[in-house]
Amino acid sequence: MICDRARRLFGACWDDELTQAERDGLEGHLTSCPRCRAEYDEFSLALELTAALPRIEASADLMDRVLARARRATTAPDVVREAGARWVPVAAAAAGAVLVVALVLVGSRLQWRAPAADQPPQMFAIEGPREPVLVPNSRAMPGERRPEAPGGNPESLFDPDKNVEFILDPVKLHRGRATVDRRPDAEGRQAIITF
Amino acid sequence: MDRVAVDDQKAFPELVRRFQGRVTNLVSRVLNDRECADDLAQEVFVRVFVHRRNYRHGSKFSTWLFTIAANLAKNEIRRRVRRRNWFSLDALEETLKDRVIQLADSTESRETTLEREQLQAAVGRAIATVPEKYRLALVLRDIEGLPYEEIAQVLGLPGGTVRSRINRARGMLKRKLQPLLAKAGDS
Repeated sequence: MICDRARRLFGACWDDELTQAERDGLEGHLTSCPRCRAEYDEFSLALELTAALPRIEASADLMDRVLARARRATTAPDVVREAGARWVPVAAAAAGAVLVVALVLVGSRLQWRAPAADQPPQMFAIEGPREPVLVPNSRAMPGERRPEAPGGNPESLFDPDKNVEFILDPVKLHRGRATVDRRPDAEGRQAIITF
Repeated sequence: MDRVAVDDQKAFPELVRRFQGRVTNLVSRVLNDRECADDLAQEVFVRVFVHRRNYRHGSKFSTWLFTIAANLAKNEIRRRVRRRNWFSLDALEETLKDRVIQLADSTESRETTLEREQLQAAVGRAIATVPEKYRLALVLRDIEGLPYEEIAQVLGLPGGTVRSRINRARGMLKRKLQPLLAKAGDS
């Protein structure tokens, strides 16, 4: 056996993976070649020292630290909730916000139309035909004129003598951004609030 | 592990108790840094807990555990390599925090104990200077005593690659330890 071949077998010899023939060949070579013998001795000593390294034990508080972190990890869900379930509270909040704005608008209009001293106070007793008034920007067609607010505040978009109807379009959420659902079938899913 | 996966309250501490020594030893020897090894071992078990339902029942638990430990150790080595000179021998000398826990033989003289500890520290440092891809295989084989097939699974490599890496790592280690080997061989 030549030195090169013998040295390639050192690892397998250490792992006890040599065939009997290979083992005999290597041992024969090592008895006749002092350089390979010295090489093998160094090789096996290096691995003996490595294998004999003392075990490093875990620190005493490792268990406590692991369990504390595991408890914290338990409280946090490790799966992302379904996107579908997430939009419901956001849409509800958006609808609520629109409702509050509407109430403020209606409230300010009623305050602005304070009754005369000889007339009884008239709160929400709106008479007249129930004609829907559209929410600004929601249904006005191009070129269509909005009904002018009769009397009072010329800035007002609403006719104080008529019921005000708010049409809330369904809201679609995509990546945290709310957009109005404009699909044709969306109309049937609108919410209408009348004041 | 099956009990951990179904949230058995007692199973996880038992599992940590059983494997904490092996995990700590593995990462300590790979990093040659005891304190960091503690943090890493903690991280290994937390990941086991968090991903307990991903454990595939057909595979050996220790293989899965060592895969997590090896990946975290690899990340840590790479993080350190990005910091300059971390693995130079001088820096290792300074940062050596490897407090060897071994009950000293009462009959051993103080001088012999010191020599032995110095030798062990030198071996630890030499292992830490072996390049990462060889070092992990070396530690898994020659310190943890894992069979080649399991090392191949842990490292996600073919068996032949694992064998060749371990051979090369052993050769590197021998060369690094050469100045010490003559001395150790005499004693």
